[in-house]
Amino acid sequence: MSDIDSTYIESFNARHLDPAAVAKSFVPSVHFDQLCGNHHSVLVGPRGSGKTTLLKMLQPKAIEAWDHPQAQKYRRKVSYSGVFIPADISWGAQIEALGYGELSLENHRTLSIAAFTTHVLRALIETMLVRVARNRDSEHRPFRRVKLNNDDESNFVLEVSNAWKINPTIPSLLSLKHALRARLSDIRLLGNQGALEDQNLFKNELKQKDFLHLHFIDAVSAAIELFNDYAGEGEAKWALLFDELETAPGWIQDELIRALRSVDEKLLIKLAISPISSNARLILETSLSPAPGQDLRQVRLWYPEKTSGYAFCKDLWDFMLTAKGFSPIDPEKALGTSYFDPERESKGQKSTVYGPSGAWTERFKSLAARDRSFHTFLRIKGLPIEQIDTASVPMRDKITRKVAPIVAVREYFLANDIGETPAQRSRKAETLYTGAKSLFAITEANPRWFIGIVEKLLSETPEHARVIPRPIQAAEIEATSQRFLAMLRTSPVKLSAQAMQHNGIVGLLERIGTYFYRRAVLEKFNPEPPMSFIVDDAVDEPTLSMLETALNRGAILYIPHDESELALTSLRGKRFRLSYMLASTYGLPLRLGKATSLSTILANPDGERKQGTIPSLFDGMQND
Amino acid sequence: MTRIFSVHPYTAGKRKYDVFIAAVGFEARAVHVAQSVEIHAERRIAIGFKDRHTLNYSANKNWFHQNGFEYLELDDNEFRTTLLNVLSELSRDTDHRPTLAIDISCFNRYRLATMVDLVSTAKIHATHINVDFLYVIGAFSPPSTHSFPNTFVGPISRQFAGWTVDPALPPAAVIGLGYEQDKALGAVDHLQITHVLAFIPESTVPEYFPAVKSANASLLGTLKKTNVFNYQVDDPVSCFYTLESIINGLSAAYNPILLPFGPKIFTICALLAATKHPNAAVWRVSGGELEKPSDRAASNHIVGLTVCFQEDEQTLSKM
Repeated sequence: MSDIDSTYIESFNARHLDPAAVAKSFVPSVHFDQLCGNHHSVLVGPRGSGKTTLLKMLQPKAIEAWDHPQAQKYRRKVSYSGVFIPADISWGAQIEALGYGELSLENHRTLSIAAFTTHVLRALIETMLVRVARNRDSEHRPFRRVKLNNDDESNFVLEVSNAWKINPTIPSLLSLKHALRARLSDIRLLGNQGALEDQNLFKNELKQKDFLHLHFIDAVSAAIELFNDYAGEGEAKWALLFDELETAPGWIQDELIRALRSVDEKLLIKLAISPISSNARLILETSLSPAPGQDLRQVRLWYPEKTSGYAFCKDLWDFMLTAKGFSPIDPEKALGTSYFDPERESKGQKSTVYGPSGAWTERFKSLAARDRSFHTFLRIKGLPIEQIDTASVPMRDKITRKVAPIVAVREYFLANDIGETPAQRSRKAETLYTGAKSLFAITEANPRWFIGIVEKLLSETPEHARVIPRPIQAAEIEATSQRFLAMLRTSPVKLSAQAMQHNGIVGLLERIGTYFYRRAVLEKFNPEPPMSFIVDDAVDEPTLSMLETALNRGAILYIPHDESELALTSLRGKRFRLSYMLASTYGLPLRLGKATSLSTILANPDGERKQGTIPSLFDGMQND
Repeated sequence: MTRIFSVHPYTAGKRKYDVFIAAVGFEARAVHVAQSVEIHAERRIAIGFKDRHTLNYSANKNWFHQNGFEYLELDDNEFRTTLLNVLSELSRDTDHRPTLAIDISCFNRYRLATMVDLVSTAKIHATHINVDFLYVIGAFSPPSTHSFPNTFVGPISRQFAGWTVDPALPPAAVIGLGYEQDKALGAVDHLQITHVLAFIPESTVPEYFPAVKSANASLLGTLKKTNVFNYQVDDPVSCFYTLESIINGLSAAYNPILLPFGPKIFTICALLAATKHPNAAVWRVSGGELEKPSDRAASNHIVGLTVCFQEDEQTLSKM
């Protein structure tokens, strides 16, 4: 058990942090820039990619609390009041269970939508309460605050209550918020009672209750128009920020996506969804043919090419050092250079690394001495290993840059064997995956992973040391990837013969990883071995289902061909790579590589699991 | 209708019940309570499952049959209907106070939830129902080395999905740990819960304790010491009150979700605690058919919990 005050689980998930707490550690990225404009948005990203943080940062309370050199720029850019509407799996399950399965579909739907609408309206009132708050925290810069005197607030609440068919005890925003809370309680009670009634009679009963039939967009529009009028803001805009769209019942998801075509120009919708979504087709259609005057932008929260995320990682690194009170230090000085990246931190040193006795030259020599296929490859390419010290710099550059990541893993893992099929060295991938750019790549610029690892590294290294030893880096990377695998191992999958055959998601990933490892390391030297895969038509549905979970969890990453299609309805025909977080587990180079079909990978017996027994189908559930 | 209840330590001894209900499972321990505890009941029912008739299932079924038990082979839906009928038959008039003994050792968690739900909410004439929940601790056998994915993560039953009046509150997990490798961690990850409290069972079978800690090392390594509790399996009353108190404390700032892995007596405590707090949900995580059945012998240590349910209105009028 941990002695540290804030724990891994508690520290790096913004979902339930107060907006001000989110702002405290927020580092803007290109994604925030893409999201915060005056348009509808769909944020697409796997777990931990920062969807919730980005949405939460659009709330007035977060923007007020944000202390960052770029904060002022964004205060100008965010020209609306953001209303964050949280959702989670457990609430989705509660709505699903309303009426204990005894309600008709129609009655259940009526009550579910009413519960959802009530939740949205309450979130709107919460934001209004922030905007009219009279207390001013001297540390915060007011953002979109308005003055509403008691009479105006009272009149606003009376009018909006009339529109929302609700009776707060007193005409105040706070009382209205509490009345909405009570309404949620009433909805459950109705559901429970309705479960015991004839569903046709209950349907008629529900028809009489006006408050159950509000449409959330209409109800929100009515309230913001009133609020704008009382606040003297006229056409001021508001944005509804919906997190975790998938956790809402299907018909609510449909309603939200249709709301992207909202004609109310005062209302923006910003949604966060996972890469695979049953709504993806509707989003794509809406994106390609928006309503007149509306603009819908999709924001991709992952980096197919590892280098695209480096700038964000560097910003996060700098911010974390500052937050800890450490003096700035270049990450490559603190963490070292990457095995996989032959570039150097300064051009002046470039000739050294490729030149005689340079690190890469030595690595090439070391591998060529043990790997006949590599030796031959160099000779065919016109750079015999014997001449590598004297070859021209352009010649060395041309070849080394291209094959450096492959050389890194082969040199690291292959035994001292000059045979046609070199044997594996029994080495753990201890320090191979260390160094600044490797760490950046391995975290996939996923804030949760990056902060998790770097926080631990910084806490284990005294500031005066200035250098974080590679074994410490390796241990933390290993611990994070093992924790990730442990979570994936218990991720729910649909019951199928394939789920058993692959032994779940982790077994499937292991087959893919093992295949890539063989191609990159164990077989004859190939400067461009396959490191990504295309989900072809021969892949069966249960395997697709496991891959979907892997995609939404960030274990595989989609390599989009078309940036207008970021959220997917199906994985078929699309290209993916394994997350670099798994690279150390399977001994893979940190590079995208060529693509091969998934069915080719799965048909290859080399990737089959060699350990563990597969249980017989339909055994054992009495004790679950 | 909701009945309130009080919990008391179970004390072994000659006692008369209206009904004794046991589960016919595939574990060797399924018959242990019936064999070891002197239970006098007017009706004795052994309830089996429609599938997974493996390991000791047939032997257990035969034993119950030979010892005067009615054998009913039911699916989960039929189980609910049957139990409701049993309760209804026992309470034809308001004066009679039905008494039940239930050996929970080999019932699945859905059936445990159904029991607690029905005795606390079923519309029957009886105003009072007394239930002794009995549980035999399994003799230690090492956890399965075979890892399997989960095929179900969700509320233990619709009645225990919980209901929050503030969906914006974060969920908090209250987990009873078992010794399945990283199962609890997977549940926490699936639900994206950031506030976790873990309960580690301690019992008269000491081998479990290190096995549970080892299987959950990844999760425990991320928790503050103050968020980890040990509980005594043979003291379910204390366990219930601790859970109840924790849910009470959490409810102002969180939506509690209970995840009962490990000994089933903890599941009963969790279900009872959630009954007192309708905002709290009770979830289960299961590998379903992917879980390989494994035998579990009895340890000779039987624990129990006596729960007295009574109608809410009556109690209120007495106060």
